[in-house]
Amino acid sequence: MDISKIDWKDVILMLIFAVLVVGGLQIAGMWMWILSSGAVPAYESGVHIIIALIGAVLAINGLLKIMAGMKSRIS
Amino acid sequence: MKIKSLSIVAILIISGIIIAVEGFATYEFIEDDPRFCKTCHLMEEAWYRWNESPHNEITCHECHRASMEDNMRLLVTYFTLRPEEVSDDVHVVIPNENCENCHFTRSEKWPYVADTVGHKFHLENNYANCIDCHGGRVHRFVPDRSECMQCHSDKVIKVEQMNFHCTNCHNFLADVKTNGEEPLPQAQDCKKCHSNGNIILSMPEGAHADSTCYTCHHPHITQEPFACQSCHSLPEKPVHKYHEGQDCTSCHVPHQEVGIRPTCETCHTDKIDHYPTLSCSVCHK
Repeated sequence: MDISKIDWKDVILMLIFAVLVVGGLQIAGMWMWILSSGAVPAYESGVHIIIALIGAVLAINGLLKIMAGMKSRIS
Repeated sequence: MKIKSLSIVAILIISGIIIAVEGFATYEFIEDDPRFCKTCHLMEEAWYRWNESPHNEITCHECHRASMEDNMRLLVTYFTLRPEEVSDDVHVVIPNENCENCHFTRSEKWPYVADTVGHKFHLENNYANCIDCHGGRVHRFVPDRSECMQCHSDKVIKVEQMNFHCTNCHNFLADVKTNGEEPLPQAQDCKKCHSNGNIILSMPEGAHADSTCYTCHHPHITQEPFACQSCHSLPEKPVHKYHEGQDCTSCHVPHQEVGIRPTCETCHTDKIDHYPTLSCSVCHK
């Protein structure tokens, strides 16, 4: 493993994707809590949960793609 | 390779936009939507009361304003201490300015109270803040008598029939221009119930015409009106000396228009034909 081959742009992108993943999951979790309290109709919080999860899944996808590219370069 | 990096940038942009928009919607919900407050089970009663009140057209956050620091503290408190009652200052303390923003501005939507006797008296003299009277029963904004009694516990009503809300007599919402600076009952306030009390005292004519009702009647002190002797000593006139020991009101009938002769004749029935055209006081001074 040659760490000098790490592209710092990839690291920054990974961090951004990581933030987006955490953010997306946090928002989804927040709306799940709201859903469980019954304060808003289920469809309304459901839509927010699905959208936030889509964002989080896309961010995970991006994160994994960068990690895969990084891994192939290093090894 | 280029296509791969393009796809990563596309994913970044799309996921970034989705999460940013969703994050903003969530922030708006937390900061501006009253339904967010309902998510806490401690708030249910307060929330339903607010929802049934005239304030249900304004959001919780318009009155209960919290800084970011307060919000963070509430969040940590909620998840770590799991409180069983609402005791935080952010929820309980509402500065007067928040109420005054609407209620000190003339509009069709909100009652204007800046020039009302009760509000001016209590606020300008710093006797009470808005929530001291309007907040005690959580979102039941019209004060109950119990809220007046928090400060005025010494004001006991001695007249059983007057066991009603203080504002029935102390016209809190009267204009200062008509009712003066202090929320004391005026004649028109008493006359809301005692409409037959227009005539102050029968004889002598015009007596007490300039007196207020509470010159004689003070329901916080005594059930019966004050005795006449608390102001008047017995006049040095034969007619008064002769009737010494009689109750003043047996001749000076309060709140009834009664002539001198009919009053005398209620006791002196044998004198009905005694100079019937003259008033008794012409001779009997």
